[in-house]
Amino acid sequence: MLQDVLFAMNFRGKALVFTLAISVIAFPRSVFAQEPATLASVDHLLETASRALQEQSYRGRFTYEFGTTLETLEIVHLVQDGVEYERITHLNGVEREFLRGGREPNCVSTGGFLLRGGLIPQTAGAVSLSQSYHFYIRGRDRIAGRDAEVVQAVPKDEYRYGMTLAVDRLSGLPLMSLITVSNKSAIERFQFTELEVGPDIEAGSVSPTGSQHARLDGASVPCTKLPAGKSIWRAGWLPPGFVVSHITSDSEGDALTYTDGIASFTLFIKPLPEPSSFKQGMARRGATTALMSVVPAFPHSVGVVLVGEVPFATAQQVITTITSSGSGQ
Amino acid sequence: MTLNSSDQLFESLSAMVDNEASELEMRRVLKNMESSPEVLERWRRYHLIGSVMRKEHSLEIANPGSLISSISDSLNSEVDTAQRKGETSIGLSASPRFLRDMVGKTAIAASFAATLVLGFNYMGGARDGSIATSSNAIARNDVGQAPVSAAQFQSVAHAPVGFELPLPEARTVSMGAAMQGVESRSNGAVFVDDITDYETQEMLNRLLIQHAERASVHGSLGIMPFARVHKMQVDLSSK
Repeated sequence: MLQDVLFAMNFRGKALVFTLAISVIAFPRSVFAQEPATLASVDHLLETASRALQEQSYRGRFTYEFGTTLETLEIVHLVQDGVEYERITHLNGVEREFLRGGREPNCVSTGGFLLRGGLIPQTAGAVSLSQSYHFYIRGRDRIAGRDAEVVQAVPKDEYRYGMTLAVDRLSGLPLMSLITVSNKSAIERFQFTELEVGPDIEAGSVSPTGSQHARLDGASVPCTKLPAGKSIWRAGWLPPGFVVSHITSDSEGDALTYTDGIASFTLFIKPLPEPSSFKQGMARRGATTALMSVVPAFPHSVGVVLVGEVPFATAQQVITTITSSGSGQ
Repeated sequence: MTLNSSDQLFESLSAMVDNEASELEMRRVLKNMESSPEVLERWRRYHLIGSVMRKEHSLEIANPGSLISSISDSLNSEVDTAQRKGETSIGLSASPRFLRDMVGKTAIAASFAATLVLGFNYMGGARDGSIATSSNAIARNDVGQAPVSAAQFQSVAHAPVGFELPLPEARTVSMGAAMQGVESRSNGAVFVDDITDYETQEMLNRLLIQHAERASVHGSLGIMPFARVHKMQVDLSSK
């Protein structure tokens, strides 16, 4: 066997050979036994990633890549006096910057709850993340100079994309995520190139760096496991594992956000006195689909826009089943 | 140290596992694989070792014979293609052609290695029956609710979507290419010509930001939604 190892290494990396030989001797069965990733380790990684994003202070630069486009962004996330503050700045192209503050780190939303292994009761039965994906540990990688554990989420159906996530072994922060489709293609990737984690982030670093910025109130999006708002509209069909997480309704129309713990999409619905004025069509960017359609309803047809990280076919099926219940959901 | 012919063969085999074998080496190994069970067995063990070193929990090749024919077909196909290109590329210097051939060969080796590694996982998942069971359960639950055909569910049950996925270092591709053959559109879908108008673009951007804000809270991996916010690019091919 040792000879095999030497050949397998193609006579390179003697130190590694030695290490492997020791491993083979020390763990002759456990290493080679067919053991799928244990659920506990996957659970731990996902929960760690979800918590770290909220609870840790960090700053860094990461790339967002789709098709032939590569963009660079800067993020500063500060947790001060138990409240999250965040600045995300696009470093390429037109100035865009998002400032967000006000969310408490112990705020666990629907998606976060599912990602942390929670069960959400629905009329057709409890929903969990494992209902939607198979998970596999894919080993270790090194990203932004940091060691990471790689976990892969493989969808159990064709209604959502797959995801590969690299989680920093030290901080638990996601260092890389790759969104994939069924034909083995990657359609979108986030990847840190620099990351600094720790309490030394200055409060001023979450201030705007330019004039083109949007301030978002993190407290405005409730972090409840089930939505408090109501809408007369509902999707008659949802991909298995998706639950409604946020509902708002005002004079502009209704907005319903759904998530399965990893993917999410939002339905924007507004009455159309003149349906012909509403543009229908589809747009895409990376994993994001935007589908605009007119849905017949009484007394007025409604214009529906679905925006989210789901395949086009899923968006189309959801939109075609939108119905009015006549009273709030 | 002098290597005998068997050692050289096994070294070539090792290089092939590492995607570093020359075309000559690949052909020599393939030829020996057909006649020597030992070479096949070594091939399996080398991948097993590589798999464990990469922390991939995959374990064995069920049918190495079919893989051999697969590689042979790929090589022959590549040679045919190279010959055809050679016939039509008179005037090109030898150097670019050499580079092209090298790239083609490397691509074959890389895709072959990927097939092996990913194939391991597929077999590992299928053996425990969990995938088919889960998918069937989904199919059962959804019949009567989801507007999709039973045939679609059948294919899901036998071949889970995305099961063979790229490694983290994979390069991204455009949605058009990625979705080819995956997202069939119904005949009833309506698309318009002038979706590129400013008003619609502005509306999409506004909704994209609203979705990003919600998704960053409810979608669990908070930083990604805001990176996606940009002027949406219209997919004209979707009309």
